[in-house]
Amino acid sequence: MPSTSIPSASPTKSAPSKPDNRDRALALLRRMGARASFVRLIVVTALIFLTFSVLSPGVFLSGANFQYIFLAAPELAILALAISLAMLTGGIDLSVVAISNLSAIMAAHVMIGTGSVGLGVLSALATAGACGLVNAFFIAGVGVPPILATLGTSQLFAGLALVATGGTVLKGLPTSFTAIALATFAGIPVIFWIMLVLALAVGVLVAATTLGFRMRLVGANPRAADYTGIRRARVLAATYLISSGLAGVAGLVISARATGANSQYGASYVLLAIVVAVLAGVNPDGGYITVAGVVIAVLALQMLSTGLLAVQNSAHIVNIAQGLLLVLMVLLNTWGAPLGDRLRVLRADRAAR
Amino acid sequence: MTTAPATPGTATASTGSRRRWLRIFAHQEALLAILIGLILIAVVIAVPDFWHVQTLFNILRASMVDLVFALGVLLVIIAGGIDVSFLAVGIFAAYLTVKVTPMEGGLAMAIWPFLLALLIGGVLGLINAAVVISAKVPTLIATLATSAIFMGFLFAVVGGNIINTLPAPLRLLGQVNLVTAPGAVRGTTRLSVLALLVLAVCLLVWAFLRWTVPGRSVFAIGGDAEAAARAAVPVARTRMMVFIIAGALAGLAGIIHVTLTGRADPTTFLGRELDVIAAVVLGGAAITGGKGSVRGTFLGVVLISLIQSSLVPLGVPSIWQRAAVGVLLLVGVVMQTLAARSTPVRPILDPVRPDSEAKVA
Repeated sequence: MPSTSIPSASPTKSAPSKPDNRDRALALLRRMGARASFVRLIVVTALIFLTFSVLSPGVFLSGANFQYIFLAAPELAILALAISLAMLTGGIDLSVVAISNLSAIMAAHVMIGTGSVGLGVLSALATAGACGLVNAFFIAGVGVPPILATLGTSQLFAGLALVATGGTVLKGLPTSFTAIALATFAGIPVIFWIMLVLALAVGVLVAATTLGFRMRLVGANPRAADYTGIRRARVLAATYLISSGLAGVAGLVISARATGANSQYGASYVLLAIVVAVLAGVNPDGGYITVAGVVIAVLALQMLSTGLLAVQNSAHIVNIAQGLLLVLMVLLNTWGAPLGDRLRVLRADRAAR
Repeated sequence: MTTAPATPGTATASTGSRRRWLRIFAHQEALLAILIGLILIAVVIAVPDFWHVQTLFNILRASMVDLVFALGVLLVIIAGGIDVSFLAVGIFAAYLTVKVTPMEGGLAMAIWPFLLALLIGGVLGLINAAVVISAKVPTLIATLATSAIFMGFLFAVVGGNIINTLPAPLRLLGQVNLVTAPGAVRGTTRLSVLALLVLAVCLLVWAFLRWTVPGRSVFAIGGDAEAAARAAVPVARTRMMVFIIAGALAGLAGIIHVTLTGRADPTTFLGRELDVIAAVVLGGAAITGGKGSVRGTFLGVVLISLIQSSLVPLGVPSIWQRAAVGVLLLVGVVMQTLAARSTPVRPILDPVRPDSEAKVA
């Protein structure tokens, strides 16, 4: 899966006069500097997996557990991809959950009214697109900081979603639609495949298209982007449109899984999606995204919660653990590299002595 | 309030009128006051009964707790961050306080739970500060994490049951009224004595921001941390102070809420963060830091609770509340953005305007 970064400061190739194997290994490590967060993520994920495999092998390593993880992960992963795209351009999209709920509600109304799943999906995407246009208007058109604009639009969309449902859960979706959540392909739930395809698409978009390149540059250095003639407003508008579209798909996945649509579903996902993005190593200041990291981080979080629930049945412990994990990862991302540098300097000193 | 001060003489006539308009836009507090007045007039014309001291008390009562929360949020926003953990801090401090306060005691003993809630809030604020400063991540992300930890800890360790019987001192305090008046339809309407406390807190925060060196430092680090550091402002220490005060204010708001409602429910504030932040932003605080005022925050909080209490009399179903607040918030941030885009932050060449101080204080 593609994971991309703006080529950061070229790796220091000032190799000492006689390069030996260790120096070469160190140089390789330094070249991976931008990916250090990715390495840490893999390590933490593996640690979580190992810990719970040892603590409660019977429950954690069961097929049912992983089936559940594969079922629960996609909606969060898609929302996290949407937020990550906004973060890539140096912004944030706090309205993704509101958009996904509003899209799901519109789809539910259409599906209940016409019985057609295709029309429902279309109306969800249209709703998400309209929401994306609203976001794009405020962020790219007016120039409101994304955090403020999406704070406002999330209130607005959530309010509209509340009005559209009348405060109840919309039930009675066609079974051909809710069956999507139960279907599997090659032993893995179809919605997980949908998520993988979307992730791949986002990866290709960011790594291999002009728009993706512009998004990375806008996030890494907006002023430089301006000087190179990139029309920043257009790039931002496209970003928030795509992010909304992803949120719309997430809404469909959530409503298929919940067999209903409501304005309250997934209220905690705003937090979780940001957690996932930061865990994955997406830079909140812009310029770096890793699609593979997002998928792995979601799986890590799901393993953490199902593992904890298997060991100690308390949803609140899961809350604490997720918060602590986020704090730990941001601390590592901030201090990991400088600490490594200091260790290297110390070792070099000792070697010189 | 509506007339903008004279535009600088250097501006041409057309840009002059344009700038005057923008300056009115920029003067968000005046706009808020006008908006509050317009809504009031509209509601009173539609429902004459609305014009009653009971309505005033209802709005004040609804605003008190949010206002104290909002003042903490205001401080963090002026310092250039955004805090979403304040409700978790508030209910954590209040619930733990209620849990450990002895059930018996006179009215005078009520001071201890208040001090304890302040203290707990301050300690939680310190934890926020530690994460924000040491991890160097945006405050939004840091406080999302700490708020999950605080809420999880509250439910998992302290307990999640609703406490319906408060300790005697708090119960007694909740019944002390500043004013009692006959109600609009029947019974009496009352305003708790805690309104005085809220007023005092407002004045203290205002004086702190306006008259003290640490208070001015909050504006300085929010405006430009680098410049503030070079001007010998202790940035890290100021930031830590801001989080501690914000935490203490949240703790105070929590205990006030518990005292007023007569019960401690860990789930009370769930998901209401954005309402309070919306009020602060409506009040003219700049999310980029360096700008904001106690007066604006007060008006913002009052406007939101006025809207919430007047939609129903106006015939709008209460289900539209959230969307209405969203629209209002969007209007507020758009005005702020337009004003910031077209007026320099500090017009050095302009003559000193009488309201230039008021904008930051």
